[in-house]
Amino acid sequence: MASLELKNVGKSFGGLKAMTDVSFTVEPGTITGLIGPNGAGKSTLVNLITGLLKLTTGSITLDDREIGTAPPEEVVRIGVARTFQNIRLLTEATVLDNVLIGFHRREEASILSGLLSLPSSRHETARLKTAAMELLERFGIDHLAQIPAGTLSYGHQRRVEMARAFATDPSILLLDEPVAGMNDVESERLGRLFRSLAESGVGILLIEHDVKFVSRLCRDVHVLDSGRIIASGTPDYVLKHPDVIAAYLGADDFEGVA
Amino acid sequence: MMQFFAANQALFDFFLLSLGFAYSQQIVLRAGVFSVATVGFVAIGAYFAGYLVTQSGLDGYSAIAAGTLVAGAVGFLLSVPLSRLRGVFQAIATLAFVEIVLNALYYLEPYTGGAMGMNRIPKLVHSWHLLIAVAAVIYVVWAIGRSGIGRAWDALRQDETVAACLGVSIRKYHTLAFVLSGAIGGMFGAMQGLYFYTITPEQFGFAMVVSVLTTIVLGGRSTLFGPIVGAVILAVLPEIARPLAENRLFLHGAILLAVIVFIPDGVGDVLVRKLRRRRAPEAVLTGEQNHGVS
Repeated sequence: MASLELKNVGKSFGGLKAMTDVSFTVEPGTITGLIGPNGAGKSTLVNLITGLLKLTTGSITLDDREIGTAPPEEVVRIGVARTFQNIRLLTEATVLDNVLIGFHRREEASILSGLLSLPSSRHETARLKTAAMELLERFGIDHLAQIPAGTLSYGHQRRVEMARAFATDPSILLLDEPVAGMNDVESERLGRLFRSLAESGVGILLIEHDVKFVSRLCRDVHVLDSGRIIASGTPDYVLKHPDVIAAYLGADDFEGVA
Repeated sequence: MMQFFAANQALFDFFLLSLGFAYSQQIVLRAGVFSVATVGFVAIGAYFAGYLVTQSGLDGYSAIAAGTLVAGAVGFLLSVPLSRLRGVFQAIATLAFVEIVLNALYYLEPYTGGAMGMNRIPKLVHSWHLLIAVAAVIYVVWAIGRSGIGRAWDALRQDETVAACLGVSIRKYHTLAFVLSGAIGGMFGAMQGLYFYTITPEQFGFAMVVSVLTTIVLGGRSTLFGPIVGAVILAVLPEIARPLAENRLFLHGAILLAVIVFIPDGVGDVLVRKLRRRRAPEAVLTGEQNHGVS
């Protein structure tokens, strides 16, 4: 298992600096939090790490392999998977098929074998289906395997998306606001699931809006505001940090933080 | 039964040919490429096969193989610039490609016969050839649907960003779709060329682009049955509408509009989905008790 390392990451859109000098590390087997108010640049950072946006300055490495300039399909092959803030499932496809796509990089059968449905392709599909069912079971959604993903409830869709990302066998998993819009019971359940994933060795970067949820799960938390890291440390430390309080509540209001 | 086929053989052959064109068109659409290049591939296949048979004295099978390979290669070349385009821009660029092929057919008169077309092509293709070719294509499309290729295409069509983030190479699978679409279009083009005694450039104009696209719009983009349903409707519709005489086209247009408005995913795809959905609710009920982990 490898650690994800961001060094002085910067991103400009023309003259606009969206990200400045962001550095932190996500260690394997841990859950690291990234919080920040709306528009702080959290999703931009996820897009930079996963290759949907190209870095302007700095570097992003996974186990000393540079991924900051790699295209998305290469980044996931190296070992970084993600979910999306606004869930993006293949809505027409079944839950099982959604997860099967996550196994894409494990596919080894040749194109010709696929075109002619030769045994190597057929056996591979059967093998991947078994693996996908096991994964769905682990995420508690195996009973939904044959349902079109677009018809599921919100919470179930989140789980499918996580299972799909996890199917790529990542070293690092980026979860972009995974409990947004969920009730306490459901997010508590997901929190337990994240812990069990981390215990299996995956490094998780939890991008969240919900400060309380992050502080329950993470050892290290980084706070992003206007494209800069304004505080890093334990949840207790960063939540009392004056810059963080100012960023969340506005500069004039220093009192009354949760 | 035999009598029916004897009486409607021309109609049946026409159906098989349009089914081949439809699969060529469906493959690119399924992969999320908005290409209408199929008609260009068909023209290339038809003229190549026609030329090889009439001028070089090649046998029919070799000519069809040559038409298939050349159109597949053109599909590959076309995919290089087109992989940078998306959506409507891709459609317009491929329409331009069809237009270029058409103009080449007019200008390369020494080889193509220009506006007069290519005549006196021996009829080397018969119904059973078409049947075998259609069966082969259906087998390949079926195989794709069960393989990682079909999964990759379906993912690309539905959400390219997600597909890329899951490790699907957009370039590789779009190129594959172009090559296959070209090869299938070229194969059925070659067979058409060796079926009708004569080929002229105007056969491969905008009208054919529309009719091939219509097959898929009617039938559906993503299932094996889509093109079959679409081609059946297109082949049978004019026959049903025959009593309407000059109002035939009106009915044709009206049915098309109705399908686009009310069944935008195509009759075939919607039927297949309905059948799948019907099975789905039982799975929920039986599985709900073991609400695992969490």
